[in-house]
Amino acid sequence: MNKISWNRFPVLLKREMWESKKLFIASPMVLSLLLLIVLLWVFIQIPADIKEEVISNMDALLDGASTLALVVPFMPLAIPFMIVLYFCSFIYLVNALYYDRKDGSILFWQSMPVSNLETVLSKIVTVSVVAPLITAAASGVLTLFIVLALSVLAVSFNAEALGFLTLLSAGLYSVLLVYLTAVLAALWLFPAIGWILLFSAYARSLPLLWALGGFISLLFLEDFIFGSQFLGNWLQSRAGGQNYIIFSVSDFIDRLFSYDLLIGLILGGLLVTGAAYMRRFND
Amino acid sequence: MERIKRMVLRSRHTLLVTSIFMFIALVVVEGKVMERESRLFSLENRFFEFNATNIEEFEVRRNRDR
Amino acid sequence: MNTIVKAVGLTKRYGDFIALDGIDLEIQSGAITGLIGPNGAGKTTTLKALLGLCECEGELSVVGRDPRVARHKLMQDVCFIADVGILPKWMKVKQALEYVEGVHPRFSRVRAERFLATTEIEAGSRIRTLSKGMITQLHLALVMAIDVQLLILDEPTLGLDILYRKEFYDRLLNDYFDGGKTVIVSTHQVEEIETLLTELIFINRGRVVLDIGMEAIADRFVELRIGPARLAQLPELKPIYIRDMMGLKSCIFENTHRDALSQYGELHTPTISDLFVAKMKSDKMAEGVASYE
Repeated sequence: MNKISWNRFPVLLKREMWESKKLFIASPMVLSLLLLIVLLWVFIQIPADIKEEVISNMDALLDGASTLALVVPFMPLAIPFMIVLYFCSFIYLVNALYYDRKDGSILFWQSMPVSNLETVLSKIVTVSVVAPLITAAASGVLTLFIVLALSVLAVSFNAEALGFLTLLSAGLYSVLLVYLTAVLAALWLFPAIGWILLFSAYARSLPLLWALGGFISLLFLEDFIFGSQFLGNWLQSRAGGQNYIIFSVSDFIDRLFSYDLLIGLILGGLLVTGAAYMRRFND
Repeated sequence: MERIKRMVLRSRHTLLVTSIFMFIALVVVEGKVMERESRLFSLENRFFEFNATNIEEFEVRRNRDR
Repeated sequence: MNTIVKAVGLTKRYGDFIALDGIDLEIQSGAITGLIGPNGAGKTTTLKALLGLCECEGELSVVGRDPRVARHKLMQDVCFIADVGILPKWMKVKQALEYVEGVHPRFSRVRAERFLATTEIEAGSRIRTLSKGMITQLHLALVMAIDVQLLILDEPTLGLDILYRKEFYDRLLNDYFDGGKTVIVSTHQVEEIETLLTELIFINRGRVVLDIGMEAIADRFVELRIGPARLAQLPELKPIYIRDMMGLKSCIFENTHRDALSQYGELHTPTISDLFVAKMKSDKMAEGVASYE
């Protein structure tokens, strides 16, 4: 039996979702609901003549416009969802390998035939593949509502409802892109994920403090030992959102196979390996 | 190989230090190889080059830059 | 009959403190072994070492594997219950069942549910709402539904009231143990498991003080009950332990022929509890003497 057994993986992912329901399921849904309410309120407030103007403008826009082009105005919707996802993922990762040591339940988990590597991988897959799925779904609900509202409005002003289909496909495509954006962000930030997991597994208390303090110390140490400041520059270049906000699937593929992302995977992989071995120290 | 592994895995602290060290070494090597931008901020400040045994030169330089 | 656990020179240090000081163990399959010792003797450390949860020196083989090398593989053949309530508090009972089912190849969900049906535990309740006794019942239900060769229990009934404690060992013996499985139980409540055990290991200060099969006790140890005055007249008798008992002196002898003692008074086979106290006290005295040398 290898260290990873793939038919066990689904139940490991389920377990993560059971434990982190509030973080990954409730949060994006609550956000979706809030934004929905805000949009409804705005919708009601806008006077009828402005609505008519918007519809006629849109009619002109939709005429002959491609799905790809129409996706662009939908993408800013991803921003609040991505912020919430970042926040929740951060909290999740800091506690991922810390909490069960604190409350003693690690002894139960380690009494199961699940390797440390599988455990760590299940947390990574949760944060980079599963959580984005739910976030995208929640943003999809919102997107669908917008498309529906616009179409209803169009019909009420007797405008061409044909554009509705293009709008709908653009909306759905944007949901896919939201998902891919979130996945790409996780892959792009993989070294950070590895870093946090390493300290989550290491710290006897206050893992967040250790992770941040460790990183800041490392910034200075690098200069001191190697005389360079690559880490700081790295941080700067990786932090920008322009790295992973995408507007098409081909965009996604390009960024996925970029050198920078792949080198990040290697670096993150190093830290993740450390985190997996760190699980042996369960006191 | 086994001996190295046992040494690294002796305690959580040795494991942490090893992981971080390998990480930063890789970052630096990659940066050097790829000729990345190394300096994030430069600490150029004439007071940093203060040499206590050579106050005269310092004074001359200071007056010159005024 | 084969060796399920073999340990030679098991040692574990925490800085200056020596938790395990060269422990040698050999446990055969089908044995119900009691690992008995006072608090801090090293029971938990020994068991954790057997499970690969504690890095230590020495030779170690559990179910044919070195537990330090691949814990997760070992866990397919070994199960354990630790003394504190270690089941995750946020989980629901049915989630725990689903998880173990998905992760353990030898788990029978039907068996576990059958067991749970006899308790007051509901499938939808969260573990944090269960009482300590119920959590132990749940854990036992999960463990008993897994078909493993070796079961390790570290003070499983600590803090439970008597009803749960009795039920725990009853279930274990009746529903689980079939003569082929091996069980190692650590406890400091000796009386509870006296009748269950087939083998006894006393541990104190990280060292094995006694390792004996239950049937061998009568051959090796004997308790003599004798009047105090009579005892004073027999200085050549060297019991390992003496205590007062209803006006008589109860002396425990090791490796002394029964025939040699039968003339002096009543002979009994000491209970495990008495044996435990006797061995601990004599061990302490040996330690005390050693420290003065």
